[in-house]
Amino acid sequence: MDNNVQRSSTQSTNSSLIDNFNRSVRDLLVLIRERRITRFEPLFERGGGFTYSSLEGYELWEQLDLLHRLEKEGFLRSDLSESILQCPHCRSTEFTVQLSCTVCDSTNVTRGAVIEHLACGNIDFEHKFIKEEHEGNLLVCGKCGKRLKAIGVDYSKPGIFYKCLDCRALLPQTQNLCTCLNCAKSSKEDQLKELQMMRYEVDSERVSRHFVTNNLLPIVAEKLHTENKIRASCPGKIRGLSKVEHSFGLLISHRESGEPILVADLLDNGRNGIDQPQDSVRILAFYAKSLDASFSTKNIIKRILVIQSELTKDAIELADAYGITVLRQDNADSLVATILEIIAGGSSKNTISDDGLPET
Amino acid sequence: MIQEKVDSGQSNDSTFTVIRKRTSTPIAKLVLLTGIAFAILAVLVIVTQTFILLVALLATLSLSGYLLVALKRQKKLRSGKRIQVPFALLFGLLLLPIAVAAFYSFENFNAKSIYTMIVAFGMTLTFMYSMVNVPLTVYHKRMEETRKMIFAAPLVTIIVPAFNEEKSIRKALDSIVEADYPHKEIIVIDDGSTDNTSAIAKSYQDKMSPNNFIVVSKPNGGKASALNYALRFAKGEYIIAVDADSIMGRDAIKEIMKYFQQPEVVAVGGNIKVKNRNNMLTYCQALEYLVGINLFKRAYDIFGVVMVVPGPLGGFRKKVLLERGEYDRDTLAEDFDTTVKALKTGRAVQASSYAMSFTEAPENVAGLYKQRLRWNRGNLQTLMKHRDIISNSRFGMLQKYGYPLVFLTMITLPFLSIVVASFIILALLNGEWFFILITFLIFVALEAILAAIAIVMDEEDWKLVLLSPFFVVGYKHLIDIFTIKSVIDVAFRRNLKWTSDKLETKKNFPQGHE
Repeated sequence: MDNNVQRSSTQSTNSSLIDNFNRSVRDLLVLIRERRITRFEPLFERGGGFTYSSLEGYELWEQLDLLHRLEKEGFLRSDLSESILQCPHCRSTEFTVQLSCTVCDSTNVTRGAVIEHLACGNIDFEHKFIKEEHEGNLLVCGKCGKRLKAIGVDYSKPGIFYKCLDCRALLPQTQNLCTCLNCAKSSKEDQLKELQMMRYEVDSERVSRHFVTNNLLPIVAEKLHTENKIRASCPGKIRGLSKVEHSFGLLISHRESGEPILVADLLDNGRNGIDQPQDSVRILAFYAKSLDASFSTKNIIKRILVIQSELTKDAIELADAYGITVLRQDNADSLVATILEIIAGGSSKNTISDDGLPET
Repeated sequence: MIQEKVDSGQSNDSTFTVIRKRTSTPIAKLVLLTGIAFAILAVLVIVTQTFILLVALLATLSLSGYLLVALKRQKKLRSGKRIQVPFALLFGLLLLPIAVAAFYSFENFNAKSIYTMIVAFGMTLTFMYSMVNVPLTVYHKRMEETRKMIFAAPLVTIIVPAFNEEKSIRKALDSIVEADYPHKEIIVIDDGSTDNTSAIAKSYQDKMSPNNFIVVSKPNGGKASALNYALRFAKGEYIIAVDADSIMGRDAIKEIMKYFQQPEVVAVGGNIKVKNRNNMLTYCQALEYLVGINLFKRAYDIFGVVMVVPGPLGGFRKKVLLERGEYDRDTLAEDFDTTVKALKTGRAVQASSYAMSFTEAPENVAGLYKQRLRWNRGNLQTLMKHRDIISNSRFGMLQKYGYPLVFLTMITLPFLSIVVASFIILALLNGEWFFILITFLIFVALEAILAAIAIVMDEEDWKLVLLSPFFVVGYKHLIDIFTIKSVIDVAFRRNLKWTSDKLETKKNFPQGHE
């Protein structure tokens, strides 16, 4: 019982998070349209590190999730801008960096400019060569005792070297031990997670189309309801034989009995986003949920898919085989007229329109 | 090693700790080597039983002894004046071998005696020239080790004239930036380069304060013109000119500035070393530079008449340069010319063996020929230009010592060397094998001792001793022939243009830099 309550509570929280997230995605799309944002670029801000300044108010990880989601939906195109390192434990990007010996892992390491005496091969810190008590500031090799004459002739300065005060190793480089300022856990540099911060370009055409199509079915539902006195809801929900509640973009029910007559969805095809399912898969998904929903009623439910761009030949044949009417329309009035015709029983099979597209 | 702190006195912008140093330098080793050198000459006298060599040996010892005593007395009396040697004494000693040789040939005149006399005369003059300097240089070394550290660090302007030096200027500038001196200003004059010289030089502006690193580009006009142009920008009271293809020693500025503590010093030359020791020719040049600086320049330095403040590293008081008309363009050796002009002020020009500069020497005979031709022609032009020195006793040791010795080195000795070589061949043809072989071996030993002295003085590579035979036969004659060719060119006023192996690729830019 307790477990069930807990599960139920977790499911409720997850659902709430997803809802919030979806709301944020919608808000972000509105923001893009209203502010005419064309790109999202990570910028370094003093005190805050890298962030997408157009998305202020969100944590970095939220910004990244939102942008990634929009990219998946095809609203954004990305390419790499910056690679930053994150704590593998808490995703923080703020560290204190300690030098650590590559030989013994000790952090008791010092660093400084070194001199290499070319004659005897002695390499040591510059201050070890300086003999201040001998003519002010001479350079004398501690190994062979010779006076160093000129850089590039008998000695060179290879740069900054590190010396481990525990194992005495002189190293050209050390490993950096990064201690997270957030969770206080230490990680070696190669253990840190790489975070790729992308530069995103907005696909403005795609965003505009989204707003047109998203408003189409609600307008149609409104028109059917007010002008034709048809019981239409957007979105409409039907609990199927499987007890799963299915949501449709448009649901037309019998005025008196409330039995579903027609279900319609918007097939937002022709997107450029990543991981988009194929049209045929989405037709099958629509068919499956409408079939499940149809077992809950005695009526034959008519199925309509409103599409955004041309379907593949396979998808058309598939829709035809499953009795799905495919409409390509972005005008609410003509769509209302077509739906009324279908309800009246004038047309229930798919035909191809004059411009080569499926029509009723 | 014992060190002693002294009071900093009149320092105004002092940044250095004042230290006077007393070192245990290898003086004992040098005295021993000098003794061996004289012993070898004594053996030569005994073996050859040549009267003239005995006279020369005694004369050399006498002159050296006289100079050392004079120097010692001068030091005791704390005299500010530099040592003066009676002209008659020097002149007489120079003429001595000639006089005795002439006497010798008349007394025992026959066919054999002529070449014996000439060979003996040449050898006498050569070893007199070398051996008078040896005790002086040992004395100089001791003196140098006790030279006071600088206690003030006035602003020094380092001028780097550069023409198409993109391959080498980075190393040169690295070494100048690295040089241990706190108050320096660097001016790079890009003399119309067509490569990336200017861009490379400008990249160093980040390493120093912008006020202390200036890069100026001007149309090509030659090294003297570039140096004069840089003087317009120089803020320092002291100017150090360096070549863009040379590497300055870390202590060079400091060492040069030690000399400028003395008000009578107007210019200081550096110790030039060969950087690219990668074949026999460059090793020979390395030894030549080493012996030249440690055995001859030190002697000039004692009298304050160093005749050449070399182009790769030389310091001047700016005031003297400006008063004397800066760098002239009428000779091919602007460094020699400027030095002689500085000497004509009657003040001292000195050289520091610790102020080092490492330069690229020609790696083949053709390159060496062009370099020496240019040097010799320039030097001869300068000698001619300043010939008034000979007749003017106002110039002191410049007239009595420096100028005649340069004349001897540049003209008399090369001719004599070739004449002696010819007579040695003649002697060999006449079957004088024993005399020539013994003489050759003794001279090789002598050269080896001289090289050893120079190596000890400069803490150099002992391998260089192995090249001593080439300074008796071979390399010496190569250099002498180049000198004779130059003398002939100047005498017959042939087209005296800038010659350099490096400049062969720069035909459009006749005003070279080296």
